[in-house]
Amino acid sequence: MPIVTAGAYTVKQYEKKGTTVFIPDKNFWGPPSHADAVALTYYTNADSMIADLKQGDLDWVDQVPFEAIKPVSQTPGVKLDEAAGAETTNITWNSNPRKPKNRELLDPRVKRALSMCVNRQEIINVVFQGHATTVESIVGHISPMENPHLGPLKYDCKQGNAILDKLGYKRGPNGVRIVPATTGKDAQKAHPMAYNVLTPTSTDFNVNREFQIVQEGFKAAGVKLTQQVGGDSTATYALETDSKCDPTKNIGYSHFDIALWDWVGYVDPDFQLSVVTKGQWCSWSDTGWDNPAYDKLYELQGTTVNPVKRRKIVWKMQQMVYDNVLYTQLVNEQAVDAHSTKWTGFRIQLGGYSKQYYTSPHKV
Amino acid sequence: MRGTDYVVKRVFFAVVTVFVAVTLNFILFRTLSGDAVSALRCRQCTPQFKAYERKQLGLDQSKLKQYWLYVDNLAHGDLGRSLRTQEPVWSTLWDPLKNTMPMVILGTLFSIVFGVITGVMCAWRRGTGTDKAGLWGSLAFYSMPPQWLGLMIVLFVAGALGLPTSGIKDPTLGILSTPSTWTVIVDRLRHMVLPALTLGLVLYGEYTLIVRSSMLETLGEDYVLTARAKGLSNWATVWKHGLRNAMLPVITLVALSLGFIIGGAITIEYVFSYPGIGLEIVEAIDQRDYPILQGAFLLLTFSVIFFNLAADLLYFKLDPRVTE
Amino acid sequence: MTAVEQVSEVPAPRARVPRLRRVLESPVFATKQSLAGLIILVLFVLVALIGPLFIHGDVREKVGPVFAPPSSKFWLGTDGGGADMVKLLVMGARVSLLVGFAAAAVSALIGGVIGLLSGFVGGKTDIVLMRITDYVLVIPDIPLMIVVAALFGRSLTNIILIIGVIYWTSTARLLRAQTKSIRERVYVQRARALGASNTRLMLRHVLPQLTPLLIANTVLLIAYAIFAETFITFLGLGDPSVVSWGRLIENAFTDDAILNNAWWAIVPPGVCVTIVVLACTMMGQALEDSFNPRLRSGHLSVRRFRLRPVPPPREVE
Repeated sequence: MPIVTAGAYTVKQYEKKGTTVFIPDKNFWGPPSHADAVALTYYTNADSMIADLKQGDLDWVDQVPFEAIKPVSQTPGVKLDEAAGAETTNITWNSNPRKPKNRELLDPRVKRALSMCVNRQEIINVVFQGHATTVESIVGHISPMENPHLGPLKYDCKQGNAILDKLGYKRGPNGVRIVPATTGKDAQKAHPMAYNVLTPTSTDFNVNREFQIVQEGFKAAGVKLTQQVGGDSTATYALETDSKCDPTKNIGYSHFDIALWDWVGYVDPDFQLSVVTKGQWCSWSDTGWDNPAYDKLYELQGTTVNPVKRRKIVWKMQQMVYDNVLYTQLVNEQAVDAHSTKWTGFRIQLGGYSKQYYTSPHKV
Repeated sequence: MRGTDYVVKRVFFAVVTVFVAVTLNFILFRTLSGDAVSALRCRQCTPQFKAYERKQLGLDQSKLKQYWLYVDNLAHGDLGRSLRTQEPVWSTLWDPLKNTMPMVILGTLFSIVFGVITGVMCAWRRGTGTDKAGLWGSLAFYSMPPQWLGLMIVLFVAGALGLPTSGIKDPTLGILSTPSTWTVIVDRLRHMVLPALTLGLVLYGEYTLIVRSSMLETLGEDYVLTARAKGLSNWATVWKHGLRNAMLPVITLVALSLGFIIGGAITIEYVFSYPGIGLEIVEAIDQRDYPILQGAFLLLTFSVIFFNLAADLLYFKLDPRVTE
Repeated sequence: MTAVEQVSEVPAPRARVPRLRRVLESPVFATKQSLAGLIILVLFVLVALIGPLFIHGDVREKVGPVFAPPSSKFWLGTDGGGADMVKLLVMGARVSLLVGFAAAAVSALIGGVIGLLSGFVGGKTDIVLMRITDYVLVIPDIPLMIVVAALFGRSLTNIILIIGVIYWTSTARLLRAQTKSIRERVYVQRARALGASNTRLMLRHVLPQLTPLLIANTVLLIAYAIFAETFITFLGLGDPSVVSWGRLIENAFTDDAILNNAWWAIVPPGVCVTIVVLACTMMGQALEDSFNPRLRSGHLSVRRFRLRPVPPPREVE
C-alpha cells in the first residue's frame, strides 16, 4: 500500500524492531530537508549503540542510558546535551480509602515520616549517575505550572523516627515497628510494618538499585520492605488495580501497598493532575485515591480560561497531592541526548513527548 | 528385538510424549496460572470488553472443553495470538527462529570441530601435558555458564577481532544504497560468529572425551599396529579407524544434547541481543506474553522430541544391537 | 590398556572394616583430581558459612564509587551500585551453594524414592515409573524451568523446588539399575525368606548399599543446580532480594559493566561458578565411576544427566 505523508519525510523501509529509513518527500511544501535520509534504529543493547556512536555509524542518540553517560562523555567526536527531563520517579502509595489491609499507610504523617528516611541524593548519584534533581510536585520540572512552594522533603531520618515513635508504632524485637490493633469499622489486628513493593521491569532506569536505596532508608525507620517484581507495565498495573477493577462499585486497589514507578509528564499539567482523580480509577490512576473536593478542582481548572486564576487552582491541587502524600516524588530525570559533532541543530526535550519532532539537523 | 518393532515403539513413544508435552503446556498456562484475561494488555478496557475477550478465548467454558479447543487449535496450527501485538504466535516465533537456526548450526559445527581436534590431539599425545591441558581446557569451558562466557568474549575478544557484539545486521547497511548479496551474507556471518563461538566452546567438551576414548581404543587395536607396520601414514590410520568410530556417538550426542543447546542459546542470544527465538522468549517473559511463551515452549519441546526420535532411529539403523 | 574400562560386576558389599580406614579408602581420595575437587568444595563451603559472619549490614549498600577499580580498599573493586565485590562474592557463595545443595537434595530425594521403588518392586510399578521418567526426560529442561519460574514467581524457595523437580531423572535411573542388581543379592533373599517385609528390606538392606552411589550422583547434581540457578537468574527470574553468583553476573549485564570497562564486576562471579562446578564434577565423577563402573557415562555427566549412557564405541570389523 502506498505511504501517505504530511511532513518532510516519507518512509522508504520499515522493519519491526530494526531500522526504519525515512527519505525526504520531494513534494513537501515546507523547507527542504538537509539530510538525504534519516534512519531510526531500534537498539536492544546499550553496548552496541555506544560502539556505533563511537565508530561514527550513529549520529544521534535519544536518551542515553544512565549507565552509559560516563563512557559516552569520554568519547571523542560525540557531544552530550542535557536538560530537565519530563520523567519523574516516585514511591506510589496505595491511597484507596477503602483498602482492607495496612491502613496505617493511609496516614500522611506515616508516609511523610518514612519518606524522610529515603536518601534521594544517593538515588541521584547511584541510579542516575548524578543526572537528576530532586522534585516535590507530581507535576515535574518540565511544566511552568509546577508549584515551587511544596516541602521540600528533608532527608532527616532522626525526625522521621521521632514522628513514628510519637504515633505509637513501637519497634518489635527484631527492629521492625509494630502497628497496634485498631477497633471500629475498619478494625485491624496488630501487625508488623512489613510491606511488599511492586516494581515494574520496564523502566528506563535501574529500578532494582532504586529499590535497594529506598529499602535501606525504610529499614532505618524500622519498616521492612520486600521487592515484588511486577512484570512489565501492564502486568504491574494489573497488580495495583486488581483484575476485576470497577469504579462504579468501588472495587479495586486492594492488594498492593507500595510501588516504585515513574510518570512522564507534559508541559500542561492537566494529565498529571488527572491521575489521582476518581475518574481515572482502573485507567490511569495507580493510587486509587478518591477525593470529591479534588475532583471538583480538577473540573474547574480544566475550564478556567484566565491563566492566573488557573495557576492558583493548579497550585492548590498540587499542594493537596503533596499534603496527602499520594506519591513521594523522588527525582526528576535529566534528559540526556548525545550527538555526533559532525551534525548540529538537535534540540533537546522540546516539551516532553514532542522530543525531536521539530528539530532540523544539518551538517556542521 | 526386531527392527520394525523397535521403530514402531520409538515412534509411538514420541507421539505419546507430544501429547504429554501439550497437556503439560495446557496445565501450566491455563489451569495453574489463572485467567489469561487478567493479563490482557488493556489498561483502558471496559469490563464488558474484557468479558467479550474472555468469551472469544473460550475461557468461560469448563477446563475440559478448553483443553479440547486448545488441542483442536493446535492441530490446525493455531498457536493463538500474542497478547502484546495481537499477531499470530506462529509468525511471531517463526521469524526469529530463522535467525536462531543458522547460529545454532554454526555453533554445533564449532563444537564438533573443536571436540574432534582436541580429542585427536589428546589421544595422540596421551598422558603428556598436551593431553592434560586439552582435557582440562574442555572441562573448564564445559563448566562455564554460557552467558558469562559470552560476556567474557565480548569483553576480551570482540574488540580484538573487530566483530560486532549484538544484533544480526549492521543498521547502517542498506540505507542509502542496496548492498550486494555477498555483503549481506558477510554481514550476517560476522554477527553470528561470536554467539556461535560461545555456544561451541560451551559444548565441545563432551565431544573431546568421546573422540579421545574412541581414538585410544582404536589405536590400541592389533590390526592398527599391523597397518602401521605395513607403512601406512599415521594420519591415514588415525583418520580411517579411530575417527570413524567416534563419529557415530558424536552425532547422536548432538541430537540428544538439543535440550541443552536450546537452553544455552537462549541465554547467549540475550547477552548478544541476537534477534532469535531465545531473545523473543526473554521479552515474552518480561511482558507476560503467555501465548508466546506457551507457543515457544511447545515448539522447542516438539523439536527435542523429533530430534530424539531421529537420533534413536539413526543409531538403530547404524548399530542394530541397541535394544534398550 | 585402553582408557575405557569394562567391568561387568557390581562390587560385593564391603566386609566390616574400621570406619576411618574405609573413609580413607574411599574413591574420593583415589585420584588427585577428585581430591582437589573435594578440597576446593570444602573451601568454598567454609567461606560461605564463615564469611558472612564478618559482614555487617546489607552487602549491597553503596560503600564506594560506582564501578571503582580494584584497590587496596576494595580488592575486587565495586559493582554498579558501589558495593564491595569481595563481600558480594562471599554472600553470593552462601546463596549459590545453598541453592546447589538444597536443589540437589530435592532431586536426590525424588529420584532416590522413585529409583528404589521402581527397581525393588519391579513389574507394573517399574514400567509406569520408568515411562514417566522417559517423558520427563524428553522435555527440554531449561525452557521448562523458564516457563515455570515465569508463571510461579521469583522466590528462592520456588527456584530450589523448580530445579529439584526437573533433575531427578538421572538419580532415578541410576538407583533403579543398582537396586535391581542388589535385589538379587543372596542376603536379601535370605532376609526375605526369614519373613522381612518389603519396606524393611528396602530401608535396611538395599538403601545402605545405594547410599554411596546416591551421594556420587548428588554431588554432580549440586554442580548442575548451581549452573541452572545462574540461568534462571540471568533471565530476570531470580529472587530480587537475594545475592547469588548468578545475580552478580546478571547485575554486571544490566548495569552495563562492559561499557564501563569494569571487568572486576564480570569476571569473578563466573570464575567462582566455574571452579565449583568443576570441583563437583571431578569429585562426583570419580565417586560414580568407582561405585558403578557398569554405567559409563562418558566422563562428563554434568549435563548429560538427562541422556542415556553412551553405548561403547563400535568395534571395527
